[in-house]
Amino acid sequence: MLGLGPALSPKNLLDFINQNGNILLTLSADSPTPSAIASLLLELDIHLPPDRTTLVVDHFNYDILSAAEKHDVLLLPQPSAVRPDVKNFFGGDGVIAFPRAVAQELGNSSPHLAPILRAQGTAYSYNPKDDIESVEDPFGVGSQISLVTSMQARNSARFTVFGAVEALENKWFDAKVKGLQSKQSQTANREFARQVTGWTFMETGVLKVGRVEHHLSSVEATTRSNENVTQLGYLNPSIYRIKNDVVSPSAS
Amino acid sequence: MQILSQTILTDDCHIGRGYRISFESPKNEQLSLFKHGERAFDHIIILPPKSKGIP
Repeated sequence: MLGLGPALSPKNLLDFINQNGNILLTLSADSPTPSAIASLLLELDIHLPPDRTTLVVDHFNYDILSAAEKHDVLLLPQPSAVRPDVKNFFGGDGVIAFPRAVAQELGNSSPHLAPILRAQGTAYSYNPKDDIESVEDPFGVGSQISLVTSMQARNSARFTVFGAVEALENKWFDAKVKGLQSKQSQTANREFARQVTGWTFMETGVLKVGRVEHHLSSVEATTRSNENVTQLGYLNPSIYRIKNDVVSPSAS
Repeated sequence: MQILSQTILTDDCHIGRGYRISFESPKNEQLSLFKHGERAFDHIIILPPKSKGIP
């Protein structure tokens, strides 16, 4: 399949984002990603495996209850913050089940991209249709694999690529899973779904400028603090001359 | 707020937080993301097309 149909062409999706619309794109290893979508993601510096039918497996971090043979239901801890100085919108103490995921690799050049959920070090992506017993040069390995990728455009619109649509199914919200060396537990999928959709649809993590003040740097405030400075006309003036030096002491 | 989603697979019914959800298939010829040049929806969820592979 080449695309998602005329209404959801890559151009329409980009126009949608440029008009401040948010998109949650879900993928599945069971459904080959249309090449038009793979090209669109490449434009955003998100790389998908060149084969259409690849799958992420992890022989050490999989659910032994549902994927004892195929190892294609990944178990991942809820992620920690992308950077230590940034609030973690996706954290928690639970385990996420991620069945039949499509790996993404992110280019280094875009500051707009961030991995929300990365695969664990023992994961890799391969094409189950290959006959070979061992995988040479796999597309993605370990934590280089991003399973959920976020892109925030310059106009702040958000585009999230969610690598395993099954993780959003009701049955996985209430599933019990068990890793090789852990106890059986309930998944955190419901919470993770809420966090990812909440972020993508701009319910969380949106900066708003509260108030901007600016004035000529040569003019000092000589008023007492209980007077309304804007009435004196020097704060936030509507006209500056060229080469005026402007100071913005606070933008809260 | 409206969400459009191409649904062949499933039901993520966790979204009930004040969104108005409409389900559309991309085969619907009437479907457009835009109305009079403006977005017709606030957000979109895109689900994978149904696989034609061997189950």
